[in-house]
Amino acid sequence: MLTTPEKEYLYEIISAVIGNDPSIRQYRHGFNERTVVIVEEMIVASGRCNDGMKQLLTDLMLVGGFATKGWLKKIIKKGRKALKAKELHGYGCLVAVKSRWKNAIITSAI
Amino acid sequence: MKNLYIFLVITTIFGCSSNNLTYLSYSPDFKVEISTNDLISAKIYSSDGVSIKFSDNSSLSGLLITNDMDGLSSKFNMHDYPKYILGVKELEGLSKKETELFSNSLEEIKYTYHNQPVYRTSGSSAEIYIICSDNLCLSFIVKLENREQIFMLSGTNISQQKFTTIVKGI
Repeated sequence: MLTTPEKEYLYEIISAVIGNDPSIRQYRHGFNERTVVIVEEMIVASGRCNDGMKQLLTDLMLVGGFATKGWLKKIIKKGRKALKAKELHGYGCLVAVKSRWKNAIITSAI
Repeated sequence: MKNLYIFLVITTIFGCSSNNLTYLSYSPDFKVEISTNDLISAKIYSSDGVSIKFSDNSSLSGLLITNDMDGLSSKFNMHDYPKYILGVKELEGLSKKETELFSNSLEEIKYTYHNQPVYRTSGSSAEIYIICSDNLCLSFIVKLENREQIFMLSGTNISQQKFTTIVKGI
């Protein structure tokens, strides 16, 4: 279960990675722990699309100690603003890649 | 613009054959054929295109892709899109931005699909590209006479065999 502030924070992270998206925003009240897992997978995979994110991921792993799966859940639960929107902007992959993640996020929240 | 060609027409054919079928029409060239029985308790939703989450937790998502959606040059040949993004053709003759977009996306897909091989097949009017890994499948369908749009269908928690059958029916 995610609290409302946790859901809002998760949406903030999603929109920081792939941009503000009305269709995902509509489903944010349905976000759950499965959504967190998918968003974590998306962020790790998106390290290939975004140099800034690659660096941030490296920092999270090395400095933040978030080396194992489930690190995003820890961040969300602790309310840590470790992932700042400004650090993640600039999605550098094609719509085909982005769309697949958007669908995975929505289906987790339906 | 992204939804310019996307409209949903669900045509259910009852009693016309032993297999009742429902069609999701994304454009005149791209229709996804689904067994109507599979739609029982399914959830249909809109993201970038029309998507379905089935009662067995599998899902399918379709998307029409055009040059302008990714800011590609109008000269860019959309038929090369699947070849570049799946790494079956060397990146050449593209602008720096286009090269970067395809290169980044290729790396992401290689990572997500664990470097699985791309399955290619073609008929008289279409070329199909499919890559699957674990519970994920991704496909691109190119209609040879349609140079403006290509179609992408992705699937989650669906068998490669079932996914391939659906894609070949498009």
